Amino acid sequence: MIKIAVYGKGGIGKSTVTSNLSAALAHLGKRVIQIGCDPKADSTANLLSGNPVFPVMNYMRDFDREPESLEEISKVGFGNVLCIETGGPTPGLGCAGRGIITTFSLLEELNLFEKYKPDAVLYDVLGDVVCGGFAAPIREGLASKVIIVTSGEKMALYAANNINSAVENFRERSYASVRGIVFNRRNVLNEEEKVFEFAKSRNLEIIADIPRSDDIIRFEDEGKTVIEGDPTLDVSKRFLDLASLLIEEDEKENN
Amino acid sequence: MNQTARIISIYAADTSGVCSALYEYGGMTVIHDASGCNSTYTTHDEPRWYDKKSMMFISGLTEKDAVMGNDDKFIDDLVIAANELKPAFIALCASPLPAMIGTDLDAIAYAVESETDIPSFCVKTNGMNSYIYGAGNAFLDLAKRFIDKNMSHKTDRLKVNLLGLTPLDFPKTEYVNSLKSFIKESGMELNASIGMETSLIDIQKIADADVNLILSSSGKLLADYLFEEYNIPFVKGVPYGIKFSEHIKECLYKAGAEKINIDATKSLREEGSTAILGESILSASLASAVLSDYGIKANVLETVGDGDFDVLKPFDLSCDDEKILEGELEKYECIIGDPLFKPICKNKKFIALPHEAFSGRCFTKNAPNMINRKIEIF
Repeated sequence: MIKIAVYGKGGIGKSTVTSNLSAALAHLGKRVIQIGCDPKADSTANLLSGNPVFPVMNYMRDFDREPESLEEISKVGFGNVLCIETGGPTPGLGCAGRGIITTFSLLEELNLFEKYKPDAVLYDVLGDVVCGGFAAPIREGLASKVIIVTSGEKMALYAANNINSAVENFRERSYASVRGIVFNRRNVLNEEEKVFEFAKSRNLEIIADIPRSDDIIRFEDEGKTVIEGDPTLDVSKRFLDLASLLIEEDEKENN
Repeated sequence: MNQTARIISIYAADTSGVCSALYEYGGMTVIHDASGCNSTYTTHDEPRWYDKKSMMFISGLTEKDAVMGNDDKFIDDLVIAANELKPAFIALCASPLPAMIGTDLDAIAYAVESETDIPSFCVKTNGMNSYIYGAGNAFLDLAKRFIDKNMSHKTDRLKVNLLGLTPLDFPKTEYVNSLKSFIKESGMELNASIGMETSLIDIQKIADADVNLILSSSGKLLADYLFEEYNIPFVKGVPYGIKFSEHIKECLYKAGAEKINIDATKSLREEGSTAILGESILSASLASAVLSDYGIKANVLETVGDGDFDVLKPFDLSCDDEKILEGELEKYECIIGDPLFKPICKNKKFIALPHEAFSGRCFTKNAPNMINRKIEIF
């Protein structure tokens, strides 16, 4: 099974990359689950045509009980991607990181993987590895590979470095390892040089190069990924190529 | 007030269950906690503490370590202690605090094992589940790590494992000796005694048995695993009294021959005006035994709120709420249970049956041995 956690600085395009990658995997015939791990709960919006799923933590807060079925906290989106959002506590209160751990325990109790039998699971994780909860998606048994999304902006690269270091530190724990960088271009000055230099110095591969695209913004306004909007576009092909690469690697690992 | 124990006691927690289950296997068991859980366990829940050595530790988690995520300090301490003490394994379990902050004990166990080459694992606890949950998972996790399916020998006798033995349900060694005698007198061979009067070799050879005898709910998870993985059937029931012990003997032979699981209490229960309070399998066994030997009809009021509910009949009840329990007890003429239940039994006839998991060592010396002999509590 393909098990990917997507990390990166806030606002860098993690949800865009993740939902397009989910859509691309689905477009190539794979059964996909996407789990948004951010209190904002907007990771899967573009797979659901603007009809959001009820986030797990919001469910527990509003009903003061745990959901008893997957149907209560999931929704099927484009390409039959099963969409789940962890959500978060009341803003300014509680502990969002612990909420992610609680959500994963609950999904395990509800036998998510046994019931849905996915070919791929994608975790879209908030900003940075700020506490134990945000490292939860890379714990053993969940994601096995980490993708870091970055542009050439200074703070995006700074966050990418922090994430890479954090994942490196978890090596002794049998956590996931970094598979590579998705270069999400913002067209800033000397962007390519900066990202290539960063990748080289950390021995990381750039596994996808996503151009700045008005098509992404246009289809997002319609509540869609570019894969759903027009899979023949150049930017769509970039996501499809990344999906193919991950499928190929997964098949090799399983043979 | 609902869901509180205002008058009666509460049962031992999952961390005590883990320590109790692993006590005799030569491992190092560590509760990740600030303090408290270990002393609760050693002072109240472990009668072997003063007679038999075991490596039971507490991590000494501080507020700063919890906030800063200083797991490395815990890992370092574990590695130092393990290298010095050379335990057969390292088992970690969480008290409420690490459970609340979501400490990844599986990852810590992995890191410690990588460093020491000593088998290390985490038993899932949070300090708030019952002792049955902790002991049951501890037996299962230990077996998964140490079963040696190549350990086998041939014999004409039926090979039996005793599962679910901890002092929390069987506080005296005398009980285990009686169970061993029961197996021997029944013409069977004891393959392994899991939990008490045991060693790691018992765990290693556990898959060599023909049948498992589940003596408490703490043995159920392991019994299910052994049935699924090794096709070893089980019999549920404690050989109390004369006739019910004979019935269990017959069930063991039948289960071994036909490879079927049997609840020995199933056909020997009738609704009555006596209530037996406590853990489900022990209580249902006692109900079957008193019906068989004395014709006394008894209902089970399962009071742990956890364990094997399959042995319960429609006229039985699972109830861990003091207020509801108090109301239920008014329906009965006679109540058999731990002495700490007596204050909510009003003026009913009360027969004391001490249960270590509920009242600790307070009444252990008065706990009667009813295994494979005449029941003399009436």
